[in-house]
Amino acid sequence: MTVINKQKFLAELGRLLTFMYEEDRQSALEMYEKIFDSCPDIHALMQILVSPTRQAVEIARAYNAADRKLQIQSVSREDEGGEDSGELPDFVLAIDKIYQQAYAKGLIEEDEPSTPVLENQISFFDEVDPSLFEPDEDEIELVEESVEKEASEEVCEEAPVEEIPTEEAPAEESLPVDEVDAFLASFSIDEKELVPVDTKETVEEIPEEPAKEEPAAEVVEKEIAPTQAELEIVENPTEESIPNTETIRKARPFLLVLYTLFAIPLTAAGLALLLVPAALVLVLAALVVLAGSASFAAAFSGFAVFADMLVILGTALIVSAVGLILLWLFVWFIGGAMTGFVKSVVRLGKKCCYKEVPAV
Amino acid sequence: MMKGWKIVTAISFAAIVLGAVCIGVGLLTGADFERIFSTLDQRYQITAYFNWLLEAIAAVKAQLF
Repeated sequence: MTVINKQKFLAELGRLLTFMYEEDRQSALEMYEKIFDSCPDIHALMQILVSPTRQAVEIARAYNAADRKLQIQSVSREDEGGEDSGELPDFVLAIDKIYQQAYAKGLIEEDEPSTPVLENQISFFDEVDPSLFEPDEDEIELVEESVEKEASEEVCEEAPVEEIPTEEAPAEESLPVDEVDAFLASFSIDEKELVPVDTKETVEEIPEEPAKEEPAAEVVEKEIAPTQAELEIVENPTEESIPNTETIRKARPFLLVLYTLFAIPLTAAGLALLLVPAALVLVLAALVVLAGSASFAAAFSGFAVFADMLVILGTALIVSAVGLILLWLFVWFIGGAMTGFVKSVVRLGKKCCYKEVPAV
Repeated sequence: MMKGWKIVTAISFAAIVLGAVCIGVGLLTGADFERIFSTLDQRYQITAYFNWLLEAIAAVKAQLF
């Protein structure tokens, strides 16, 4: 039962956290899973967590997609040798706060690890030491050497296409280390390939990227805002918070008149066509029912032999059954087919001749 | 409507099955179709009506062609 509650909680929480980036969502779910695993008393923990919706609201309030995007970009620049900010995302801090609450109440068991914890192992619940992300001097030299080799190869290959001056290629080898770094700064690594980046292009691309991704951020923000708004409305519903989405149907006069002029005679013709088979079915049903009732009467009054009586009774039952089906078919013609035909004509008229206008 | 069709077909199917069983039992216990037809003809004049129908169809055909 506790496994099912934990799985249900995490599944529901995962469904509610779709407004986050996938990596952040997975990180958050892993953190909650660790909280569940380290807490033996699920009921006490659920009193703190309350519900997946509540946790989703807490995370949504601490999560800003635009800020998170900037953080991710800064992390990607760290990989290229930039400075390390060492800041944890706000949603991680929010989840850590819940962990601290559970720990303060004595719900968290500190499990002794079966394997020794490495010094370099990072925990989500510990403050990140920025010094851990500083690369060693040897690693820096190795990276620079590999980048230089790739740069020299790429420059030789792309010189005729990208208008890179060929004088730089042979001159590159004789450049000192500082000038090599400056030269390499004009390139960026894209899918393990060195791509030259012009300053003009960088200036043009930078405003374009935010412009292109702003709609995505706006969409994410819109997804977050209604999520919070909807949840708050559910918790404290007020008349002002209920959005007014009433619309009124406005007629199109010309279309309405035209449709009415054509629809009435066509509908009458259709109904007349349907009346013919209906009348035929009614006559047939009446004859069959008469035959069945006559057979019943004859079975009990005209025959002396019981065997003959049984045959006539059986025949009367079969004929009466057929008569019942024919009678119901007549009822269906009148009540189902003809009324359905009229309703469909009216529905088509409403669809064509009226339009939905928001109420002012 | 659908519910009505379901009820009607269920009742009709039951009546047809019962009727078939009755006919089968009657045939097994010695029913004779000639005796049945003669009894019905005496009661409802089936032969007379059938002959009248044939004469009417012949008269209609004669007038049309």
